[in-house]
Amino acid sequence: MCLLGVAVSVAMIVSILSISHGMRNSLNSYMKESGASLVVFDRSAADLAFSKVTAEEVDKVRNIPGVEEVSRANFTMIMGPRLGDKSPAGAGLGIIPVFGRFYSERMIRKYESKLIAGRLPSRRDELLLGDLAARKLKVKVGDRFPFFREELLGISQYEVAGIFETDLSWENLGVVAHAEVVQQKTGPDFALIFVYTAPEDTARVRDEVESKIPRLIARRASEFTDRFNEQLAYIDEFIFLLSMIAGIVGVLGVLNTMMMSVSERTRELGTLRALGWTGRRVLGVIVIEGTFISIAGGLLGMGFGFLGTELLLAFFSRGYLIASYLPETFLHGFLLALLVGLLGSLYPAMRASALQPAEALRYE
Amino acid sequence: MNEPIVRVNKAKKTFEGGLVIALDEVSLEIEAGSFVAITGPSGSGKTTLLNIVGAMDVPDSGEVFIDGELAASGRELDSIRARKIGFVFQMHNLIPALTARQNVEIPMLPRPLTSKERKTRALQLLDEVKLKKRAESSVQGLSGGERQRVAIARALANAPPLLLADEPTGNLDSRTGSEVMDLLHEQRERVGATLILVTHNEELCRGADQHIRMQDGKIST
Repeated sequence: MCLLGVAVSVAMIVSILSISHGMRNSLNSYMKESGASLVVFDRSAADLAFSKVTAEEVDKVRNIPGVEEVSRANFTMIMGPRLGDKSPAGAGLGIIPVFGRFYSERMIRKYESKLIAGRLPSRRDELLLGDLAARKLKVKVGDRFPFFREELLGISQYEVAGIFETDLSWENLGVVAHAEVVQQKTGPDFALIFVYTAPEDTARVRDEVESKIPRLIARRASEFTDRFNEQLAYIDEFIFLLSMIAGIVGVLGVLNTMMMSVSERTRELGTLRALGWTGRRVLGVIVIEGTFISIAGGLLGMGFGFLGTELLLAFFSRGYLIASYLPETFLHGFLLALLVGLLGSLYPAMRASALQPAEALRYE
Repeated sequence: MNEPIVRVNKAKKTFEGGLVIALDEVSLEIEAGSFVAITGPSGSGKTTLLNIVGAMDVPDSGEVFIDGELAASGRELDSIRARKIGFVFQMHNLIPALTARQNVEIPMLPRPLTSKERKTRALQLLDEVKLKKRAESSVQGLSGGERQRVAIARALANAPPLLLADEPTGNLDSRTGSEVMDLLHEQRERVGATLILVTHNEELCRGADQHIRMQDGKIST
């Protein structure tokens, strides 16, 4: 039971850490692949979903010397359309991320090398679908279907212009729609803008954006996730808190098991003391035993964590979550198990080492 | 006369806050290499005396010297037990999860010996008690007599000058008990150790160099 308790605690930590790393890594890749020099967004937004960059601010950025081009981006999430007979079992697809892009702007070109069918969209009633989205919606290039449930800008049917595939499963599950159409859902502001400059101008442009529009923050695409990671600090705090809770549960489990073990083996421990073992040696043996059990639970938990995460992602996340299994994650799990073993067995070990041999041998 | 292996000087031991007097200012001396029997009715203090002589307990007052060393505090007691004393208990007190050989190796673990040295010594001792063939058997598979023979081998592991046996035949039939006692005497003579035997059985006291009879926490004769 103790072994299983530690295993579950470690599995939980491994799973959450791997998913958290996966999310961060996938965002890193997404931003790097944009090819933009800078990513500009709302400094005070706790999450990109709440970031707002106005059209006036976009113009101000565009007019900064050294800015070659600006691509505006907005974002929403919709419930997948019901496609009648075309839809699997007639049911909705679930949540679909919708990336709003202007088809005339440079950002859309990143999909050029990712196309597996069709072409880049050019009209407002055209869509670019991720491979997974196309498969789930059961649509192919040239199909027309009512992507949004309402008529937006007078458009009710959207044509699939192309289908792309990237390494990011949540992007593959998404749909690129014209930013003006998406604006009908999100309002006139943009979530972020991608700024293209010559490499030697990037630093200066970044400083100028931030000095001219203090409300906005400009980061190199490669630094974006650093900033984003700051915003995701609450995830670290959550993981720390969860580690603490898992650790406390594990310590209590080991403590209980080792207390019972010491109690059941009182005569045995008395015999060892009678045979010349010192209290310190008995303490060491109990601590090693508790730690060994805990580490065995930890190793089991790492396996459970890996398998559990894979099963979770395969059956429930529908591709929105990605796990990244880093050595640090498993080290974290191992150290947690080690600490749990040491702390959980220390008190029983101290009790055992304090046993007087004559008294222990009398124990019934 | 040589320095006695055990010297107890006015040892007093009480339990339950002084209500029960287990030893009442007992003094005695035991000569090295002798066979000493301690007898007496239940509650007479013989096991308490054995515990004190075996450095498993300390008296509330008085002094105990074992092979010339004062047995007074925890660390000294640990050291004395490890170097100078071998115990044979009534219930053998072997570790059930271990083999006979591993049980014999237990007292040697605190000593600076390699695992090979320990194993060689344990096998040699098991050979002495005629159990070498069962060395790798779990002690759970051994008979009562065999277990007690393993316990004797274990008691001899560190070649202690003092062997203490608390009712070593108490759980055995008379024939097996007799065999175990013969073995105990044989081994004692072989290594030249002192044997202190606590028993209810007057038969086992035959041939004792010293017979201590306990009554109400005192030596009666």
